[in-house]
Amino acid sequence: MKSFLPFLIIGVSTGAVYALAAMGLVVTYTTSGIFNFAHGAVGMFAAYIFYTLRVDVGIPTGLAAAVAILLVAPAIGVLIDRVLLQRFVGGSASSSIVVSLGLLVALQGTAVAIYGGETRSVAPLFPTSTFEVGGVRVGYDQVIVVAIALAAALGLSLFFRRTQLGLKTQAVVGDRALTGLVGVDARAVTTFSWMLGSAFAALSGVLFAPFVGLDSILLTLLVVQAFGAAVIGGLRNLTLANAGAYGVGIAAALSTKWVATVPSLRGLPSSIPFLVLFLVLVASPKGRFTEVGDSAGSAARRSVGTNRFPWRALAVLTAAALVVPSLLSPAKLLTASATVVFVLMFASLGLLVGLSRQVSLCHAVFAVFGATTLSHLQSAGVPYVLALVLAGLAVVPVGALIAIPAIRLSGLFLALATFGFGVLAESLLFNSAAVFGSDGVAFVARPSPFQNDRAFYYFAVAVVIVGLIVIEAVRVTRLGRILRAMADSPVALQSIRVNPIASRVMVFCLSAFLAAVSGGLLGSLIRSMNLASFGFFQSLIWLTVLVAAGASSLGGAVLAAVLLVTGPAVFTSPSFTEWQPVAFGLGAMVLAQAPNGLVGYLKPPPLADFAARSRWRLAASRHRARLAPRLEEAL
Amino acid sequence: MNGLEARDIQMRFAGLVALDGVTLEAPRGRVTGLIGPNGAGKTTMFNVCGGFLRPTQGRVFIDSDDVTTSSPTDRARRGVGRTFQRLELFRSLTVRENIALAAEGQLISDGPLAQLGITRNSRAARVANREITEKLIDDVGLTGLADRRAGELSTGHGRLVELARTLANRPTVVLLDEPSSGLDPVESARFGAILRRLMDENDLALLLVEHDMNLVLSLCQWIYVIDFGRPIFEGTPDDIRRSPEVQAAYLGKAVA
Ligand SMILES: Nc1ncnc2c1ncn2[C@@H]1O[C@H](COP(=O)(O)OP(=O)(O)OP(=O)(O)O)[C@@H](O)[C@H]1O
Ligand SMILES: [Mg+2]
Repeated sequence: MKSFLPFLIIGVSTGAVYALAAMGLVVTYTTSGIFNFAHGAVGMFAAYIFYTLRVDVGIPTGLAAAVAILLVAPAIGVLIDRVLLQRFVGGSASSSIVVSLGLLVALQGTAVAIYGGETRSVAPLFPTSTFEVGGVRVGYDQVIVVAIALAAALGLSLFFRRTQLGLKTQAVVGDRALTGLVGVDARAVTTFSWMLGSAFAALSGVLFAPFVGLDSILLTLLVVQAFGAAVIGGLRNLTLANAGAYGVGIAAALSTKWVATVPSLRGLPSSIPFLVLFLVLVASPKGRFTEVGDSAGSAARRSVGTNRFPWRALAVLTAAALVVPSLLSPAKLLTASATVVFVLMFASLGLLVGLSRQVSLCHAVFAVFGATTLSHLQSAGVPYVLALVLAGLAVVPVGALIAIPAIRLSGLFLALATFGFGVLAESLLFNSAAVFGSDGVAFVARPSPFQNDRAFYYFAVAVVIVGLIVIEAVRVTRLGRILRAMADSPVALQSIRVNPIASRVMVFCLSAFLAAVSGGLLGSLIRSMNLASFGFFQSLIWLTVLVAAGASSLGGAVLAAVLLVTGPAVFTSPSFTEWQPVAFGLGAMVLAQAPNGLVGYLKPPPLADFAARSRWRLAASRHRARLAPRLEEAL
Repeated sequence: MNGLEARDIQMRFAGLVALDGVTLEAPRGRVTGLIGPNGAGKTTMFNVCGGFLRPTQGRVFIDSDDVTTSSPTDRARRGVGRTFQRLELFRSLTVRENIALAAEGQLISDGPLAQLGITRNSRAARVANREITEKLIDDVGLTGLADRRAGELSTGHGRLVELARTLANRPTVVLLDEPSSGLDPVESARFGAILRRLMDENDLALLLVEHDMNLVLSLCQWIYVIDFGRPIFEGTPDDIRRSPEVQAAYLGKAVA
């Protein structure tokens, strides 16, 4: 027992940090109905600002904390609410997910561009000396962190129960539509909740930094610990979220002790929050996680994309792909091949994001699994094309396993589950011998007749074109029509007895399959794949660049591939690569609700739609005006 | 009873009681009206009948089976079809696709392969499907617009698409929520004619929410009136014309 106590103490103190993050998340989610994936990134950003002020500028700790937590973070909160989200009132759930992911990518990218990617260790914030209780050493810093978290929890609960603003906030949480009637300005309350939530994120970021160091990714991932905790409270209950946070902290700390003897499980402690998240999602009965405020009218939803098979676009694309090598120096051929393969990758993601309005945040993991499975099958002697198809099929059950429990609940939970799975895969599965083998590198051979770069380029083009034909064919089947219909009007779809869950799962699996095939091609292109090739963060960057470019058409996938892969090859300055993710993040935020990203603006927008709508409004108001006299007449 | 029956329905939204003790019957072969001033709870009643809302009290029956807790999709399978007060079209699909999507649902089990267009349905079934789609397009008079996207149509045409889509699913209970709102008088009269023919040709239970009193009084055989979520009157069109309560509820509202 005694050997566990030190771990318990570590667990409680990290749990306290998670609790702060979780409370912030719950406050903004319940009041605004928007799940802030950038919650941890806000905390990360505030932590950087705090330590810059404190260490580099030399401002006293208290003042630096006040600036970071009470000034900068709430300002970011206001910005998120007023600038980014105000435009989305009534928008679809997937566009608000994309906006907050764009913010995450942009903030993380900015931190890396300014401060560099390395972890920076920081001086402890509180005295690290210890005292002994019952034979166990406890650090003063640990006690202080827990005290701060408990005080914050108490403060928050008093705020909700005792203050005018707190009661108003509860009214908004209870029923947004009714608050207007009792004189509460729901907008102002929501803005305030964003300030409050961001301040909590900042506080947890500042307190967490001494534990893990200033690391833009690790701190950004704090949001995940917060998810894990917050879902235990159904994303709404502060007390349960707090309990969940301490539970997650303790479980993670105890598991460190347990896995110390099992090297392949090194990643387990940091994966505990995801496991929790996952188990809660899987085990939840349908209905426990209904999305807040998802009664959004269909006015803002609109699916795009054609009803017809784009023969011409595909032909042009093929022709272009075939002449490109003759225009390029051989050195650039690798970039060209990678671009081509990424077109398929983005088209597969677009099938999901654009057509079915679902978000996958683990596409990079599917790609990695595709490549490693291909590698394993090759060593077992399976011929290339068959192995590639099998590698694709191998991820389908994995995809289904993640997707089914989440899709059953809602789009937000699919995003959460895939995000969780992405991180889990990277920290746990990638380390296991089954994925990368014992050396951490999977060698992927090219098919024998296509060994040289030029030949492989043509091979890749052929596979990609086949993949694109499949994707475009799906769009014109009943499945494609159901998915487009669902984006337009889910209620009408139910009323004609179509159950869209099967469609959503299918399109998710197809998308995973194609992502794995693209991953296999990429592996063959560079001939190997290792742990660092595609981290889970890549998935987020891919999503943002695709949304910015246009997720609903072939053109968008091509543009996204060019922006991501060809861009850095043309503009080789280091600042281009540094700021590239920031640009993608910002692009996704700005264009999340555009009909079809940047490529959507290459054609005149469909104005007819707007015209029809305003005509309807006009007719409706005229109808109301006519109503009274006609009634009198009739009676 | 064959048709729809809702017994003693109560529906609360937080503090607001939107429906309180509403009972109605919509048997097959009859056009039943549900009227009441703005905000009376008519659409809420439809949502309860269609399974989009779970009532806080009361039961809903279809063909005498209790369906109070079943989902909208499930009720649709049992033959409930509806239109929406605020048009709910598949705006990016063409008129034909809107209707065909509903018509297909009848024939294909929506398994994975079927969604990709691989079905064991006979050729004849698919042909029948297409014929039904084309017949409905014809019936509601949208022949010239069949290949236009639904989002590009006027409201009047949009309502016709919704009606055709609902019928394509071959329902036995049809709920229409203000089908004539946004239509001009000519379109509205035409709509009435379509409904009449529909009733002649099929054994349907039709429940109609409508503000156009001429349409209601001429179509319905029995009418329920609710106000502030409570039933205030029921009877034949003639009873309604003579009823002082109904006059008061409507005219009070209209003047205010
Ligand atoms: N989801 C909901 N949440 C809260 N209140 C609701 C909800 N749906 C309806 N209401 C309220 O219930 C009452 C009845 O609304 P309903 O839409 O059923 O009226 P209606 O009779 O259809 O009116 P109209 O003639 O304007 O269509 C209204 O006060 C409305 O604000
Ligand atoms: Mg209504």
